[in-house]
Amino acid sequence: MHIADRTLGHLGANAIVGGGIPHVVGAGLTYRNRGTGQVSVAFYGDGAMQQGILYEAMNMAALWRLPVIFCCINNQYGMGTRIDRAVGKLAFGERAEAFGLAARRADGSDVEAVHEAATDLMRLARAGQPGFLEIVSYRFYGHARMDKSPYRTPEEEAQGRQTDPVVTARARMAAMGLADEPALSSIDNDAAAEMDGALAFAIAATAPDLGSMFQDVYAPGTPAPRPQRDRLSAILSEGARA
Amino acid sequence: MTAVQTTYREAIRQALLDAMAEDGDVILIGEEVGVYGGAYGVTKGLIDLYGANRVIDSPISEAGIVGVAVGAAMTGLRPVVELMYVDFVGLVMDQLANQAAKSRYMFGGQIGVPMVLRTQGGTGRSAAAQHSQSLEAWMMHTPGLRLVMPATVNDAYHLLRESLRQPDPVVFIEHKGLYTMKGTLDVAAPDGDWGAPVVRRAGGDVTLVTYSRMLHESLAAADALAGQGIEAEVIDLRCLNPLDDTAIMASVRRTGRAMVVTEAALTGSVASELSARISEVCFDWLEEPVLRIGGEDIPIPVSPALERGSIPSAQLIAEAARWLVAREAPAWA
Repeated sequence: MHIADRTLGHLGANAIVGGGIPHVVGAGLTYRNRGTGQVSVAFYGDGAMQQGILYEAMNMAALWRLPVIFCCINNQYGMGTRIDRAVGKLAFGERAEAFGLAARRADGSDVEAVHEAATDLMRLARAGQPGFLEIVSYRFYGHARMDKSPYRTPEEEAQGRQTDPVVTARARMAAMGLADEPALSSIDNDAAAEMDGALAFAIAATAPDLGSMFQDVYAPGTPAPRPQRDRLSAILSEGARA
Repeated sequence: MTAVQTTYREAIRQALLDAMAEDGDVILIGEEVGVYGGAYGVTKGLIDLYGANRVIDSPISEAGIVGVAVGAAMTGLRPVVELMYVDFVGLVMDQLANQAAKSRYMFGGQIGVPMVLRTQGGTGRSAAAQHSQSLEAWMMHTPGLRLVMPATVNDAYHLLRESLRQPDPVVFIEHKGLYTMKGTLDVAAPDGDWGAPVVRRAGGDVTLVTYSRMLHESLAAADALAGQGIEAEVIDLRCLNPLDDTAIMASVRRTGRAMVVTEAALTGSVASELSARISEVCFDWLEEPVLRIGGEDIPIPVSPALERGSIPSAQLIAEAARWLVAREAPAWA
């Protein structure tokens, strides 16, 4: 749930819908103050479009002209609620424009279209014009493992899965002669092997030592939380009583 | 000679000024912190010295500005957010308790959030139920946060400087009733270590454990008690997290009696937590039950008389201490 890789500039995946969006504005503030030329991007779903914090963040990014892009991957569903059951008006780009952001919309099944829109917004963001990108897509499976999608038909799902950006890009690359089938299959196999390896690693791993639960609550070298057993010993052990 | 006479407000301002002069990554962000100079005047003139990129006037978006500070802290700045009143923390709690406090843990130690949330709380200005609360228990209950509540001019400076050296988020709660208080600031001599309570008055009959403005009510009570032959020891917590309670326990084991004095609504409060800790650790040494003296369990009333009457006074503290120590009941008993 909380994946992060600082080495890639990734500030962590959030489990509060919309909760991480203002951090991206803060990162934009850092980049502006330090003049690094970097752009920070918030990736979130159509569900977060209904969170108030998003609009506080959009307003501040526009007000301070920060190098920030708000990127909404609109896969049509927030858990079991289709987007038209959650909003009164679907034109997300208009909301962003109302705050002073440059808005673009791209077909999520078309890798090049997404790249083109993102490149355009990156250029604007570096020039002090923050932006908003809606990537229109479809959520292929349920919200979570036990979700059997009772809120939509199998026909709708089957049709939605036709809009797969990997399948589309693959066909296009093959047609353009950029990659042949063996090369593409090799990429598939490598990816599958990496996932199998990760799964095997996780299954083979032993449970962590109980003492490790206190790590990283605070920075190393600063006072850490007191384990319960230490506290009880300090109260009840021989010598602790009068 | 490094010691000067100044106010609690000026000491905080000086700490910000010195921190900004030393480190170009320190920024201030908040409602009215720039041109206006802060609702209580703490940041006056700082925008003229450091410019609008480092002293940032924000819109009225409390959750948003704390979230922006979290992101700025994650990426290398040292933000100080001013939350005009601690009462507004209800708007901020996701960013504070779920984001700032938990990022280091959730992301396996990769991402720290070295920010300071400055705010102020407490009664004294007839500012009513949404501008007078003492909400420190909400923060103390949240692992991942540090929590500081200075009661003296010197601590206002030094604890804020130390907060700005911490690798983790610090909530720094000032008291609106202390801003004009005068005292001695010695930039070369802190009152004590980070996380260590300080004994502000020595005494052998009862230990009063307190922090923030209630320190001064407790000291006044101790003076009154001294006239009645009761010597109270007064301990100022200063930091609620981290909190090394060694000095508190040593004192209570010596006096055999403890009272915890705070301004916050009593039930589920910091006073309750401290009382429990003292009872656990000092049980065999206690002559009497650990007493909690706190705010009444009501919203803060707007009437100055009711507001004053809803929180502990030096008189109430002294009356309770006299009852506890000398078994002499007050008139209202």
